[in-house]
Amino acid sequence: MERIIISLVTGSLVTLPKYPVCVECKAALNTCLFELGEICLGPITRAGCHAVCTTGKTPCLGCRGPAEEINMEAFLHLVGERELSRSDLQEKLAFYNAFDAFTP
Amino acid sequence: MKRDYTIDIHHLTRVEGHANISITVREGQLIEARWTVVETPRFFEVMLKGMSAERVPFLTSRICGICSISHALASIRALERAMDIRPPAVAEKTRLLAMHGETLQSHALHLFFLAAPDFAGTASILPLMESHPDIVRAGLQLKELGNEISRVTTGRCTHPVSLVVGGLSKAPDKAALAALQKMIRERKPLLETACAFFRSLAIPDFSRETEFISLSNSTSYPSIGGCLISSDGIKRDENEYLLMTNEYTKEFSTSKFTRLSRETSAAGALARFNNSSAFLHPEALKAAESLGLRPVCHNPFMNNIAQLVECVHILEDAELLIDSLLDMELSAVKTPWKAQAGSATGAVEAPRGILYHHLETDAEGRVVRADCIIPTTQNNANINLDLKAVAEWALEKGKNDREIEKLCEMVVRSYDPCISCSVH
Repeated sequence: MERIIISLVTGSLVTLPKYPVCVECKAALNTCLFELGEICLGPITRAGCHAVCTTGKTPCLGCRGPAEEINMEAFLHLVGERELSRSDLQEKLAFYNAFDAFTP
Repeated sequence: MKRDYTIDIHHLTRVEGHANISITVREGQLIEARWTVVETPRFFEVMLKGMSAERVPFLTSRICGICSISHALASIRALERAMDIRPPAVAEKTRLLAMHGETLQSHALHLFFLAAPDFAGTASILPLMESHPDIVRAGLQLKELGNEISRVTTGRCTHPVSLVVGGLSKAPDKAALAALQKMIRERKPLLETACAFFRSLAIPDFSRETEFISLSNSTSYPSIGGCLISSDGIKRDENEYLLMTNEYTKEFSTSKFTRLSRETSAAGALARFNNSSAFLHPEALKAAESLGLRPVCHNPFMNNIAQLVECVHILEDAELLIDSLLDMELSAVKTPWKAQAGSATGAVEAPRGILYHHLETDAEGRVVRADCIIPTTQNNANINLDLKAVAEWALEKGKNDREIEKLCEMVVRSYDPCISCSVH
C-alpha cells in the first residue's frame, strides 16, 4: 500500500518487486523454514508481502505467483535433496493455481 | 399517499455481498415482501475435498474478508476434535483474544460505517464526518484496535497466519501484547462516546417473537465451541449441528434457509445476548442497561445495540486475557499431532452468529467431506419474515412508501448479513 501511494505521489509507475519472498524473509531475520523441515514456496514466489506468512512461521503458498525469473529446477532439487514430501509440494504449488506452467 | 406501489431494491447497499429486497403493496395492503440472495455460490466445500489438514484453515479463512479468523478456527476446531488433538492453553487463550479482535473490528465496521448512517438520516458515513466527526473517529479507531488485536495474535489483521491445527505456528510477542494492552486502555473510553451516540438514536419500536440460537458453555460468554442452545429450550451437542440447522433451499435464493422449532430463527449478537447475558462483564451489563437492552429482546433493530454491548465486553475480557498471557510462558504453543481418520463439528460464535464447519478426515488427515453452515444462512428465513412483519407494522402506522423502504433496509442491515459468506 505504502509503495503504491509513493508511486502515485511521485508520478512513477506502480511496479511489483521482481525478486522472491526470500529477500524480504531474510531482511526480517527469520529462520529459513526449510531449516525447520518445511517446504516453503518463498524461493520461487514474487515478494511484496513483507514475508508475512513466513514471519508467522507458516510456509509461503505462492499467493503472488512466480517471481520474475525463477529457477524451478533448483527449487525442486532443494526439495528432493531434503527428502521432503512430494504430495506436500504438489498441494502447495496447486494452492493458488500459480505454478501450473512450471509444474513438472 | 400512494396505495399501490412496488419497492425494488436491487441490490441493497451497506451490506456485505449482493441481495435484493422486493415489497409489493396494493390498496394499502402488503401483498408480498421478499429477501432474495442473488450472489453466486463459490463451492469452498468441494475445494476442501482431498486437502491435507495443515492446509485447511488457510483455505477456509478465504471464505470471508471480515470473519476469516472465525472460519480458520471453526475448521481447526473440527479437525482437532476429529483427530483428537488438544492445543496447549496458551494457544487457546491466544485464539480467544484473536476472536475478540475480529469481533471488535467487524462490529465497529457494521455499527459505524454500515448502520449508523440509517439512524442519523444520511446515505453514507461521509456526511457524518461533517456532522459527527467524533463518532466517525471513534469508529475508525475502534476498527483499527480490532485489527491490531487480530494482527498481534495471528500475524495479520485479515486472513490469519499463525492459527494452525494443534495450536499456533508462532507465539504472540510479549512486547507487542504489552503495547496492545496500552492501546486498549487508551481507546476504551471511545466506547462511552459510542454508547452516548447510540443512546441518542431512535430505534424503531418493533418486535416479532423468534427463536434465538447460540453457543453456550457454563463458564463464559460464548466464543469457541460449547453446546448448542435455543431460547425455545433446545440443547444439543456440538456434533448435532444438522439437527439445529435443518437447511433447505428456496427457489428465489442462492443462499440456503434454516429452521429449528419455528418457521424461522436468529443467530448473532442479539441471540448471544439473549441466551448468555449472565456471562457478560459487569461493565457490558451496565452499558446494556443504559442502552435499554434487556433479555429476552425480540426487536431485531436491537441487534445493533447488542453488538455495541459486546464491544464493551470484548475490551474488558481482552485486557484480562492479555494479562494472563503476559504471565504465561509463551514457548510451547503447538501440540505435535498424528493424522487419523475421524469426523467432528467445530462451532464458533463468529461476529454474525454461530458458524459450523463439519469435517471428515481419512487416515492421512485429508478431508473426505466438508460442510459449512454460515450465520447469515441461519438468519435468511428470519430476515425474510421480518421484512413482511416490518412492512405490515409500518403500513398499520400509516407510513408512506419511502419510509417503508427505509425501515425494510434498516431491518436487514440490523442483522449485519454477510451474503458472500452465506454463498460460500
